[in-house]
Amino acid sequence: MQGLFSTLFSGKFATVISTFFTDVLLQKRLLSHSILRWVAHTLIFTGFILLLLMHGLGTGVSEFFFSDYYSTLQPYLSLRNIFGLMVLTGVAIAVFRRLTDKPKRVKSYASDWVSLALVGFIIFSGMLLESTKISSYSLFQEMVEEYGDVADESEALALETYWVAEHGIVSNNVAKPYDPELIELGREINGNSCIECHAPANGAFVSFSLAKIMGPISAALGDSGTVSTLSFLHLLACFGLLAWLPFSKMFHIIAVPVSLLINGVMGFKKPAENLENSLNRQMIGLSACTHCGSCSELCSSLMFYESFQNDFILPSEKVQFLKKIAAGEKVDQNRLNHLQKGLYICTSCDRCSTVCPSGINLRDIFVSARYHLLNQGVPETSILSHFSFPLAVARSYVEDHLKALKKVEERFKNAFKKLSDMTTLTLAQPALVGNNSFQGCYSCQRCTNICPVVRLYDSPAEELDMLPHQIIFSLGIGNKEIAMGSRMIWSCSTCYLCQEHCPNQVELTDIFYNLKNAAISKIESGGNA
Amino acid sequence: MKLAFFQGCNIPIRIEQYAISAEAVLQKLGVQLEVIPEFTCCGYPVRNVDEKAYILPSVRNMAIAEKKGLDIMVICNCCFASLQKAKHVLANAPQLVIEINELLAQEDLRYNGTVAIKHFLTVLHQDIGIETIKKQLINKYTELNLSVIHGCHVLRPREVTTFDDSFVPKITEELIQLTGAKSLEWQGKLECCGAALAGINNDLSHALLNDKVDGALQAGADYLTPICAYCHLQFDTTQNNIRSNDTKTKVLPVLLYPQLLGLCLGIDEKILGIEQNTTISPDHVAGLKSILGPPVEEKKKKRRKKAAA
Repeated sequence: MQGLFSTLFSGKFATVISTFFTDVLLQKRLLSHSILRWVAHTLIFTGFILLLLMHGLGTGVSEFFFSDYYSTLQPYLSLRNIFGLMVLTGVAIAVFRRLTDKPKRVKSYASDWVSLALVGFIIFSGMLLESTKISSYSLFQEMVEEYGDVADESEALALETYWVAEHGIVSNNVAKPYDPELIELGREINGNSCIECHAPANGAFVSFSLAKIMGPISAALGDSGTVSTLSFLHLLACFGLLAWLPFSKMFHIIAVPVSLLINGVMGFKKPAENLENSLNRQMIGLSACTHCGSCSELCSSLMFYESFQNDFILPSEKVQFLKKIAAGEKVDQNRLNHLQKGLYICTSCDRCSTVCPSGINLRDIFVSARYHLLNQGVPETSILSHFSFPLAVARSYVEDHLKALKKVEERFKNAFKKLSDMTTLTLAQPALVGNNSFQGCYSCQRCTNICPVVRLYDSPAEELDMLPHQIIFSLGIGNKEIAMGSRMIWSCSTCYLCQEHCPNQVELTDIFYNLKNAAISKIESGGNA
Repeated sequence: MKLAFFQGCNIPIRIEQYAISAEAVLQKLGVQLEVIPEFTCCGYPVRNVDEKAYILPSVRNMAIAEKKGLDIMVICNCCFASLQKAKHVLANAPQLVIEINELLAQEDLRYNGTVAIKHFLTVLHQDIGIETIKKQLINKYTELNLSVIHGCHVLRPREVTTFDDSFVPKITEELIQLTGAKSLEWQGKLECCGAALAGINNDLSHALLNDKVDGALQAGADYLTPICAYCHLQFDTTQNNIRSNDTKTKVLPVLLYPQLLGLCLGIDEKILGIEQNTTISPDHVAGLKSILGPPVEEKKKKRRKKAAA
């Protein structure tokens, strides 16, 4: 609260206002990403909100602003159709995009379709309802009985003829060709009795056209029944959306503006001032995700997804799953391990946070989720990669990171024997490490002598388990396992000095990389020495 | 000349000033850069885990540049090495090319190996040329000692990076000389900054870093000049983190090469983002500007030429 007040009464207030207009209402972030998507979103958003205000919230809102508001009068009659058509066009673009132009590698979940379908159905059912109301003979009769100033049967027939001819009523009493005199008489009566509340029905241009198709069907089914059924369906869809809203991505209607405003004020580059702020923002962020896939489209780790076939490498998919975890859903360990790996195979380039149209601080969410899971689950071997570099530079979660490293080290200890544990070394055929250059080694020890890492230790042979030349030698006699488990390969700074200086072109650094790969893959497959 | 600017993952978010200063310098020298949002990570971070996964992203990045018809310019040494490595591997593995191209075809991309990977320094040194740059110099440093750290992955392995003589590198040295600054001979010049071990073995990573900083201080350096983005983060961020709180250790400020050259070309220090370097204070910038003088050497030569004529 304190933060809220200090923000409101500081210079940041202007930022909040400008963010509200540019980011929340005009969706600038989305526009800069994709024009088509911006068009779709703007159509749905504007159309739906205007419909909600003008039509959905009943006469209260509209009458407050426009004293002459009446839903069957112009311009409201046409506006309702225009707004509806906007939403439907937006939904159509969104469906088209999900089917054809969807961000590569991003999946569409059932919930994505449900949201689109619900919005589309609300509008469509509303239009059907309006069209059956337009054509409904029984409604017409009710209205005539209540408001119609008709003296006799012939006048009633005239009014009816006029409404059939001009306003789309479907009636069995009147048939083409219509008597022009009757129509004229009907028009006169209409002028006295109806026109005050009823603009020509063709003003509702979509529904009026629909009425030409729906009218005969609805009449055949019994028009009053059809109207009430459709009105029930329309209301059901509206309340369905309302009920679906808090539990689905539709909650973004509420969460995204909040998220964008926070992002406008705080950005994402600076760490949050306190943990509560950060956690609050993360929860809002998770609710604000619309699973649009912008982040995954530009994710720096895209190609790692291709290599590891792990959905959770893509930010949009991580968020979907983290939502479930945050909601307390039980998730099996295997999926969690996958998620953990996905969280770790991340270059911390922060592109996802930069592009997110909802302004979610994904970086914060992912880093805290990463350490949360690292503390709970199986130690993650890819922590032994340069993905750890940006985290070390940022010095976030230092203690947790060390703990996680310790756990991985334990796994190594259990999986590999050390040179010092062995009483005898066996002689065998040269090892297979995907690089045979080690066979050229003639033990000059140039590699060890030039190694800047070896130089830093007082007793390197003990502290590193093996020295570079010993590793090469052990490969020569077929002892790959002790090389894979030695601390030397994990202490290699990959500076390539040894390889460059080797008089016999032994590709030491490349071989060390292969050994590291082999060690990780062995541990991942659960193998023990 | 127009090049696709490959910034990698660290530079856009953590060392923006490197990209901006390099762009400013190249703009002065008539080279256009295009930033391509579709470029992904070069693959380097995953190398400890899976060599094939390490190669793949670089191939895709090259295929994207190929489609655009642009050669790639890189400033991060590790990105440079990854792209060159991928190129090197694929040149000898036609089967792998077919396999990867099948995957790339899904995105309507294809790798043919026609894109050249150029380091920023190569663009300056070869494509633009020392002489051309000299003509554009407004100022030179009169008195400035630098410890340059060349960075491992731009030099070695030499068959892969094909950047410069890996034992006696010339390109970087000549480019430093050009600004009038002195590139010191110092232990650590060709060695590792410790970045590759950060987050894996922080003690060792810090020991390697301290080793370099102490070596540069001993040699009498005024500034450290890292070439690689990883080196920069080690020296500019981690050095500050681990050495600034200790009274026994001194923090050596860090200047990037395009910032150094940019001042000589008369580009504003704000554009070059010199103060965005964590280790740089306004006093440093003022000091640097005070040691800038007209490129005297040039004038002498001209006079001599005139005299000869």
